[in-house]
Amino acid sequence: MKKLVIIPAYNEQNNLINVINDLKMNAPDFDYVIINDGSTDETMTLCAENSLNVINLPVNLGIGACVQTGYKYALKKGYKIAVQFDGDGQHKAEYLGKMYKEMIETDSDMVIGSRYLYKNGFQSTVFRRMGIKILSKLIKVLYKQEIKDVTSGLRMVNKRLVTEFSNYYPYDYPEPETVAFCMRKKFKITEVAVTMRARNEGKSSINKIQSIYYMVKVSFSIIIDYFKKT
Amino acid sequence: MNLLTKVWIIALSIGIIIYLLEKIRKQKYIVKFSIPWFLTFLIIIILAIFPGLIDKIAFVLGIKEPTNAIFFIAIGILINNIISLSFSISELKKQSIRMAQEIALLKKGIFNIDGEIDNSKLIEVITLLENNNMDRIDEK
Repeated sequence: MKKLVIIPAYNEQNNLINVINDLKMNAPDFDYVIINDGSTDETMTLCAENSLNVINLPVNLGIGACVQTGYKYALKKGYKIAVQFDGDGQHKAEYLGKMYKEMIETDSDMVIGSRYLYKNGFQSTVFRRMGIKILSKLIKVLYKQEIKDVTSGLRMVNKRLVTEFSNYYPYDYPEPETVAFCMRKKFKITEVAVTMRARNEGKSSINKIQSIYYMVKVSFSIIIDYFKKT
Repeated sequence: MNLLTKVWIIALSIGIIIYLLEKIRKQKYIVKFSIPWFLTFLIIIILAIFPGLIDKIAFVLGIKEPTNAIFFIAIGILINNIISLSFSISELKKQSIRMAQEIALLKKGIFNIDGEIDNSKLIEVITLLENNNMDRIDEK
């Protein structure tokens, strides 16, 4: 079965090669595509020099639209499975096999790689963990299913969701909102315990001052999503 | 209201309306976006000609001072105009994202990694596009 790893990359010249090597070594049956989101560093040159499979966005669109480009590509190329996999090296390719197995066994539409199922590996800061817990509870209140790690960017989806995401994908800080979106549309979501690395290079898309605004915005969009019709 | 004030208000409003019309005439401004502003200045002119209307509006709104009624109406109109801009920006953002994605995917389909046109890929894409168009014609 054709499987694609979508790697959103914004200024990841220092991490990208490691990520690709990790994928080739630990998940050889997955194809990959890098979505260069208008990087201002040498990311694109690096891709060209190493003949990496890359889609180059002409301008910086932000993480949501960047990932959606990957889903559109997956749809066009007829992939049955697509995985989101960060370009900064915090995700480990060794878990892709496990996630795929889980997806087939449980017949899920989405499998999320979760840091908090067994609480191993890099756990993020206390402050951020608290925020994630609040979002997770909010989704549980609305949809009666608990997802521990709603902000995880490591997620595998099947053909149905690839099609769905090609049509609609939230643009800003999309991870928790897509979970809510999928639950509202009655897609089946499961979690698999993974460990992640601490971010070695580059910085998170969210800094401390923006965190509170992030919480408000995401909670708001999850609640708004609850009342959407389509 | 002082006659001089009236003349000033009307003259300025007409001046701005002419300015906007001129922009539209030179095709630098889309009619759709100008309509809220034309309505705004029309209202200003009407109120300047018939200042008695303001007292009536103030009475209907339950506002004691007619001056406050003017502020209320003015802010209301401005909020309306700004929200309509906000909608437009949102629409533009959606459109530009779609276009950027399409361009990126098309380029991916046509160019090779060095940025040169790959002829075999080009033929593939053109056939694909033509087939898509054929589908659309068939649907009609």
